[in-house]
Amino acid sequence: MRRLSDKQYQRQSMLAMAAYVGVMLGVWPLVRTVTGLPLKVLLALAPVLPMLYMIWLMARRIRDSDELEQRTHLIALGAATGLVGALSIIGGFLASAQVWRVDGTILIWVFPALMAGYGITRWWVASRYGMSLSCDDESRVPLYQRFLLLALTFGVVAWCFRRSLDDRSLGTLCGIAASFAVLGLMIGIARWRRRKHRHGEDLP
Amino acid sequence: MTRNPLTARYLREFVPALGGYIVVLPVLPMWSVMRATVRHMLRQEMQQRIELQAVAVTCAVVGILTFSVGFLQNVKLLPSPPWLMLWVLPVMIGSYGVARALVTRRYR
Repeated sequence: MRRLSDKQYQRQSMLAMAAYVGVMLGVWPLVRTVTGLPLKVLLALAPVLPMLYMIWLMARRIRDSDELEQRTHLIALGAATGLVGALSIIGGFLASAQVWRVDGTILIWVFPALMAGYGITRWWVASRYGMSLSCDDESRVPLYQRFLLLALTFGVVAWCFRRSLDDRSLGTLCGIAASFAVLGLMIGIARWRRRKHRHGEDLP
Repeated sequence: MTRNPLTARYLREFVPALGGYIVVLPVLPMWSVMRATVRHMLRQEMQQRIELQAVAVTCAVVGILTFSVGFLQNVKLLPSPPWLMLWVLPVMIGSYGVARALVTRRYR
């Protein structure tokens, strides 16, 4: 299997995310209108398909990375797994004892929590090893656009689940979407100002 | 039955403190456990490769499983009891054990 370049990886990840948003908007709402159980299950699980593609892309990227990169991937995945495992057991006991009023639908947050833990730890480990993960050069999708896309994704999920989710979960989703949007805008403005400043320096 | 104000104050002060103790206490040694585990995983190149593949498979299995169950719960096709979260760690440990055994056998 041929090796994916960073540009191809970025483009295909964006495509997977766009497909996820598309499925959440176009296909998932149909689950409430159909009656047959097999079709209902298929429609309910439709958003998992783009996620499977995303996992496959990540697996290829990890497989093709060099030894130092694999080290950062391993530390990040190990830390994220340990953290989510510990939090889930604590949360599970608190929920079982009804100290924390939450039901089993919180399971949908396990994968995003794993990915967030992986992303943050990898960034931290890579910066300790002196590697750069900013990926904000001209050849790739700028960081601010990725944050805005994440904001859009969370916003769409919040909109799709607005009837089934309780107020707290819906508020959390909207809060995450707003945070990503603010972060994306801040990075975008900083980038614009940096470019403007650089452009000003280039003028005679 | 009306509760004695002194008892109410006692419970108000005692229960959150005990809850904090129960929640915070396991998190502190967990950091040492994670650090020791990651150091052990990185001890040599082949070991690092095996562990990386096993952990990546674990994340993928747990991610796909929880995401799928979460979607089915959201449309009421599966029940969503609060204790379900307790199963995340056992599933992680189980899939890590199976994946590690399979990967190790592949490299033997």
